[in-house]
Amino acid sequence: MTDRDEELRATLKHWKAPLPSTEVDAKIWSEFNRSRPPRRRWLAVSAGVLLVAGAAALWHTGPKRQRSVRIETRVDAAGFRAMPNGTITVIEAGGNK
Amino acid sequence: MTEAAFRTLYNEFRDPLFRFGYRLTGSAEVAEDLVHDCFVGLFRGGFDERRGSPKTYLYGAMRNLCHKHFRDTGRETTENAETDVATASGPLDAVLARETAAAVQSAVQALPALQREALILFEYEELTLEEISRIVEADVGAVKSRLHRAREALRKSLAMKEAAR
Repeated sequence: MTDRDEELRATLKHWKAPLPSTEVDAKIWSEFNRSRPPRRRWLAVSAGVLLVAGAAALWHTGPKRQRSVRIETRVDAAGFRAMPNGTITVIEAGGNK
Repeated sequence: MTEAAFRTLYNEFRDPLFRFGYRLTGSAEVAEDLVHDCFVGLFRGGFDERRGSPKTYLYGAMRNLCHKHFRDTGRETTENAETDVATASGPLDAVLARETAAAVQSAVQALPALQREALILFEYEELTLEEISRIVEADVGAVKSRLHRAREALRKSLAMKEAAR
């Protein structure tokens, strides 16, 4: 660089460039993020589907819960009287005494 | 390219690439569009580490986008936007500085494209001759020659503007 070049350089420095607007940042980053999500979104959806499928499979193959069944027998004993000197007769299956 | 790597390059080169594009095209709006295209090309896999540094790749991409813009539009735009000037101490200094900045801007933009890009990269972006030769895909001797012719043309042009004041 000669002195003339240095002098010219100093003159050239009078011309300053502006800064880019923040819109360009937003535009570039939005495009950058748009270029990446398909894979991430696909992974997230796949993971969600697998999770739901796994939970459903566990629900169906797991031990069945015992249902508690309550049996209630009602006997109308109104008017019942014990027989005096009653005997007990055992009738076996088949009808033989 | 990872987000972290992209962010690093973006933070480092956003402003320099915009300045380069602005000075080459003469339009902030066009320069912003080209910076956008440049970084989109970068994250879409345009950069191959084996072919050089990210710096020369990005400047080279920006340069090619500017030349494509010139071809597509058939002209080189120059905005009438107020020229940014170096800080001046008083009102008279401010006027003079503004006049000088405007004279420099119009003189630089009147240069042929190859001389203009060499001058901008060397004088404003302070790149080395070797870096410029990689960016403009010419040998160092050709870059030196373009720089020399650009300086001579600028001296003449600025002297004429000074005489006309």
